Amino acid sequence: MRDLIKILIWLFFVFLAVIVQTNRFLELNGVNPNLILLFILLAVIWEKEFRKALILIFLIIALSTVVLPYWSKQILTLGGLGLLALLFKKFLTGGILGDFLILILLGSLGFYLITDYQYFFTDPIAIIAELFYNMGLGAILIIILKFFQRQTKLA
Amino acid sequence: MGLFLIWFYRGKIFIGLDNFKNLSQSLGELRLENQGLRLEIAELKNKLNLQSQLYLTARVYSRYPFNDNQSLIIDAGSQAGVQAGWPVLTAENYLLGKVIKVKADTSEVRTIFSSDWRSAVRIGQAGIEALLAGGRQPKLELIPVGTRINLDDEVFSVSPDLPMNLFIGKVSEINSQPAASLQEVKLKTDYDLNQIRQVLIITDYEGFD
Repeated sequence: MRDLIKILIWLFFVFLAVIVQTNRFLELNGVNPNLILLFILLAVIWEKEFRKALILIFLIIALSTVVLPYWSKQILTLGGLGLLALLFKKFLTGGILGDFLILILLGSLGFYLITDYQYFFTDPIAIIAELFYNMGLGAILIIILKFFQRQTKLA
Repeated sequence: MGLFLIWFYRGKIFIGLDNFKNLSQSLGELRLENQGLRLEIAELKNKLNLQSQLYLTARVYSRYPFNDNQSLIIDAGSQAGVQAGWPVLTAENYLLGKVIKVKADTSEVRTIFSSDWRSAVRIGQAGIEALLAGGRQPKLELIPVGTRINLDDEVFSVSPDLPMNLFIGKVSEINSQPAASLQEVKLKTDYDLNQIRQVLIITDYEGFD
């Protein structure tokens, strides 16, 4: 039951993130953060159990594909990157924030390398800007989650 | 009794008559303005030679959520007769992009904000030719240094695969380096891509690819 509530909370926030991303509510100077990637990588980092992280990644991909059916190729690429991150998680440092930022860096670059490598030549500034934007939001996300985790433990 | 009622409500009757007079005056002014605007539209249409163009209206379903592309999905597809290559406008004569993929009920539109958009354009009254390179902020390239371009010069499409003289935007910034042989110009549009909910598709258009 507790796991189900946890999954529903995850799905609520993922749904919110997909809506924010597709409507470009957080767009800054034409640069939109990749919130779907952030949530996939957050599932990789935050969930200790391999099986639970895997289920979360599949659910995020399924939900994103339902909301954004026209861009399923890109969303599946993000899912693939999430699975790779999950497989290679054990080789990371173990620190949540540091590992999350490393994964965001690799994930953001990997995404454009797979889906549209020419983008590195046409607008490299946008890639760098998105990279910093994703990492900044990722750091904020971890800080908020850690804060709530501490509050729950205290309660 | 009738006279008493008229005497009792005389103030309100006069106020009402005044309001009616003001309203009919405003209506007359609006009619004149409307007539003037209609004439202006007709004149512009004649100038652009597009009065016989047929349009199909479509709603924007979805926008590409990542940064490498600025495509749109619209709710008109092959069932509505849409074909790949047809030009897409934000409003009459305002170029937005063109249809690149068609499904039964939907189509994908590549916009001038897509990083892979390239088309020939003409700048200002002088008709200076340049290459429009799409992106977050579209740019005009391949303009020789020394070419006289001013801020707010209007930019029109002259690409063979699009109708002639579709308005694209205005010059917003000119980057001219003395050492370089070419100058680069940034383009601004009158609209925000995020705000577009509806587009016009020019139907029955056969360009030269």
